[in-house]
Order: sequence, then C-alpha cells, then structure tokens
Amino acid sequence: MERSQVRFWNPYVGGVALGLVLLATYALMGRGLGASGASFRAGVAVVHAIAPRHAEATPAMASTLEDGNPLDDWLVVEVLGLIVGGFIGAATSGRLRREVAKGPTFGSGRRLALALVGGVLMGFAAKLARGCTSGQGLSGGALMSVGAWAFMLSVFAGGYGVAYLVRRQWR
Amino acid sequence: MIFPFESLSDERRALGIGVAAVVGVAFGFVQERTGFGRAQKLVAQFYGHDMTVFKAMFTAIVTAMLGTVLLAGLGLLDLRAVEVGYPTFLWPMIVGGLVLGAGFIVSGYCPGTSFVAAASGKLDGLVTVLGVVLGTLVYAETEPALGGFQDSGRLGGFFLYQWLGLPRPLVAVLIAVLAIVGFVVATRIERRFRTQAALPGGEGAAAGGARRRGAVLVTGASSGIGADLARAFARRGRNLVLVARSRERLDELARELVAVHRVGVRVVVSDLASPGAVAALHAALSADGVEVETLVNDAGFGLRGAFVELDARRQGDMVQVNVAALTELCRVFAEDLVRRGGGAILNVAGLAGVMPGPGMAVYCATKAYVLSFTEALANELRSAGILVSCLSPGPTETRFADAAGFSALRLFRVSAPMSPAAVAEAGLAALEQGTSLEVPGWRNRLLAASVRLVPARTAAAMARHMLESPPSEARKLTTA
Repeated sequence: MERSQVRFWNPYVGGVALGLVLLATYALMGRGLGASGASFRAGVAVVHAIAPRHAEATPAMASTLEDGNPLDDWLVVEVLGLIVGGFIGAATSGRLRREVAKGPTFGSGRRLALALVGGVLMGFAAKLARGCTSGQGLSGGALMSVGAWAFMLSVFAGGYGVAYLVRRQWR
Repeated sequence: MIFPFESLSDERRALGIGVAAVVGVAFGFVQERTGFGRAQKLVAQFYGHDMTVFKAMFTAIVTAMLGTVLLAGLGLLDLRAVEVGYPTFLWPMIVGGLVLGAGFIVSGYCPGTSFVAAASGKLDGLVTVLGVVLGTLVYAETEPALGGFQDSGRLGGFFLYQWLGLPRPLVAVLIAVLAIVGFVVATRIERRFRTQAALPGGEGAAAGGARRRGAVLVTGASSGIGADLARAFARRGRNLVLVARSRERLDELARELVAVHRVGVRVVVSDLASPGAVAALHAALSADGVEVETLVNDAGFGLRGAFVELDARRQGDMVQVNVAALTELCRVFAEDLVRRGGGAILNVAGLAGVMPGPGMAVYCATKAYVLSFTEALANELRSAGILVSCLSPGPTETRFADAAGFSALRLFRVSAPMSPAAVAEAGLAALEQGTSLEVPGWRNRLLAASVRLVPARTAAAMARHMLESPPSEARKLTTA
C-alpha cells in the first residue's frame, strides 16, 4: 500500500507563500532567489578541481573564480537550503519515495535520457538568459524587468512549442 | 538591504549565510507543497489540464511585486539597489527563454524544481540537476563562439513601468489585474481539457494522456431524460451500455442510436429494485471486457400520496432504486475509474431534492440524498481525475412525470416543463464544464435558490402547495 499523501496546497496559497519568501529575500539580501547559478558554480568547482588551468582560461568560469572558491557564494547556500526544504516538504507529506516520475507506459531509461537532455538545454539557456525560471523569471519578473518578462513569455512559448512532441513520456 | 552578502565579513557574513539557508529552506518547502517537485504537475500546464504551476508562479510574482511596491513606499526597501541586479539583454533572454521552455517540457522540471524533485527521491529530478550543471558548462565552453550574441539587445536596467511611462504602483496593479484575468482563463482551460480527458474522443484526446474508448453506461435509459442522455452521448460518438427493465424499449433505442450515430450499443435488461442487480450488471460487463468510462445514473421513480397510505413495498423499492442501487453503482464503477485514473459520473437528482415534499416525502428525501452524495463525491474524486456532476432538473415532460402523477401538479404549471432533450444537453454541458451541480432552466434555479433562503418548515409548506393538484386536475387523476 502506498502511504497516503498530504494534499498539495491550493495554487494561490502556494503562490502567495512563494511570493512572500521572495519578498523577504529582496528585503534581507538585496536580491532575488535563484537556482541555476548554483548549478554553474558546482560545475565550475568540479572543472577547477580537475583542470584548474582550463577553468581559469575560460572567461565565463574565470569570473566566478576571481573571488576564490566558486562555492563560497550565498546562492550555493540558498540552493542547499532549497534541497533541505524540498526534502522536509516531501518527508512530511508522504511523498519521499525513490521513483522515476513518468507516465505508466513510458520506459524509465528513456525518461532519464530525456531528463538529461532537457537539463543540458536548460543549463545552457539559463546561462544565456542570465538566470532560470527562479533567478530571472520569478525574481526579475516581480521587479517588472522587461527582459525577465520577455524571458518568461518565451519559456511558455518554448514549452508549448515542444509539448506535443514529448507527450508520450507522460502517458 | 540588510545583508549584502559580498561586502560582508565575519559575523555579519555568518548571519547572511544563515539567512540564505533559511530563505532556501522556505523556498524548497513551499515549492514541494505546491507540487513543484512533481514532473507530471509541472508539465501539466503545457497540456492544459492542470494549470497549478502557472497560477502559483504568477501569484508569487504578483505577491512579491505588490510587496516591493509597498515596502519601497514605506521606505523599508531600496528598490533601485535590487533592480541593479536585473539588467535586460533582450535577445539572449528571448532565445534563452525559448530553449529553457523546450528543456523544461523535455526534462519535466526547471532548474530550481529539479533540486526539489531530486530531494524528494525522483531519479529523473537528480538526472536533470546533473544535466543543468553540464549545460551551464557547455555554455561556458562555447560562449566565445557565440560572437557576442549573449550581450545583444542590451537595454540595461529597463523596467515595464519605464517602458510604459506610468508610475510603478499603477503598473503593479495593472499586472495584478491581468494575472487575475489569466487565472480565470486558466481555470476555463483546465475544465475544458479535464473534461476532454475524461470524455474520450474530445479534441484534447491527443494531448490529454492515455486514451481508451470506454463506454457510457446509462441506467433508466428506456425513456425520458435517460434516453435523451443516451442520445446526447451517442451524438458525441460515444459507445453506450443501456440499462433498464424494458427490453423492448431499449432495443428500439439501441437500433435508433446505431443507425443514426453509428456507435456501439449494448443493451442490458436489469431491474435495479432487486438487491443483487448491480453486482450482476458489473460482473457481466467485466466478464465481457466492457470498460465503463462514464456512469450515468438516471434510473429512479417517484410515488405520490400520503406516507402512511402508500404501498410500503413500493416505497422500499423506491429507496432501493433511487438510493441503494445508485450508491452501489457509483461504488463499483468509481473503483474501476480510480484504478484507471479517470472518468466521469453523472447522477440525476431533481428539484424535489432541495425541499422536503409533503405528499412525496420519501421521493423528495431520496433526491436530497442524491444531491448531497453527489456533491461530496465530486469533491472526493476530483483529485483522482474523475468528474462528478449532479443534474437536478425541475419539471420535465416525461413518461416518468406522467407515471408518478406529477404532470397535474401546480409546480408543473408555474414552472414551464422543459423537454427531456434540453435537460440532457444541460447534463452533458455540466460534465464538460466540470460543474458539480446543474439545475437546468432559470425558473428552476430561482426556485432552488429561494428554497434555500427559508426555514425547512416553510419550505415544506411551500412544497405542499406546489405539489398539490388544483381541484379540477385532482378529479381527472382519480378517474384516470
């Protein structure tokens, strides 16, 4: 038997809570939330450990190495908190379970392959756009940045444009 | 700005790290509880059947936006200092958005939510996290080859209120209003797509998830509203299972539906007044591999007369058909629907259910049961993707009304009787729009609403008046 799960919050309640977290971040940290920036810093740390010269010679990586350890950044701490918060949320709602999220008729291997491909696309895109859905869309959007709104509308356009092609993995 | 991280040192820096961690934990917890850790929920917005993420995302933006305006107005927040971190580079942001959107639907997550998914044990979330890291490195390696595209469309700190030339608070309010309009539209879209997912053959079938062409089972299909419900489903290309007592009339309707709408029709003769009927019906359909995807409970009958004078056995049969069989049908078929992850149930109650009915005490009470039961069921089964609606018609020109001696009632005269076909269409529309209670006809809606405003005692007195036949009609009835 599957353990019963706590229901998801009403989307508007969740949205207000999320907005208040973001507002607190603006007020306390002088900046918004983020996610993909920490992913990049983790990647740079790995590359720097393996091939320090190469990392220092690559302009995009060098800029995060200037201040020393690329992991010594508030965003990395925030994302570690994000992981802990996600874990607590799942553990206290009966949703902590090792599984592959997919439709019942789609193979796990193919699903994981698509997850990787999608992740690579997003990592690249987040760097190009100077932020992902959290750091650019949400945080820039609430500040009414023109670029953030253009980004967000493009995210939806991109999602709707490709949705039909990958529908099978959710069936 | 209390903790500008980079310029901090020592104790204040430690405090800043603490704040970052707390903010992060809150961010992750809220995301998990809103459903952002679940790929199916995140991608559902791109297929239209669950707009939760869209609603939550824009609610968050509006909340934070109004909050910044408020805090800045109170002098508690230096907005200019925050804005500095968000310059616009139009072209890379548009292209980046398109690519990120594509990656989102392919991976099932965005970079932030993939962390939440990984933290809740989703292996695909973990793989997405690794993919994002890899993708950012790919960018770093290929950036020199982009030829400066990443810096094109440079507008600096450029904000919507500057672009529109309006005060910031006004733009914030305008965006909030737009968001509310967006939420209303999103809810409409959800209803539309959920219904299409539940009613196979809809236009959204391609995008709506696994599609089977299951049948529509209609009880009480031999005449009246039941027959017209069957016709309405057949018009939409649905295969049918028709259930009633009279084989003759069922066969006749089946021939009509096959000839006119070219759908598959199966006839099952069953008397729902006999206690084992539902189990036998379910077993027979299961044995033949008939999948019922929509259950329509229309079977029912009414008796008119003083409670202590009516035939007690017939009264018992009425409770059996109107209440017990309906409940049992919902039970056995809802179990199948939950297991298969979708479907629909339409129960036919009646205006009689909204008020105590002297002279039809048991009948009205059975319909009150259906109203209450169906509303609760709609709420319970919504999360399982099953649509449940209650069709509660007022006076309708049917054989049922004649059989129960209803046609002569005052009610039938003040409230112009509707045709069963119109009532049936209203029932399907209710299912299609995800309405849990549909009262067709404005007179009936007005009556149902006004009954709710008065004490039950008064409602019973009103009902007694409406459910009486005017003297001349009463004479006709007794001689008939």
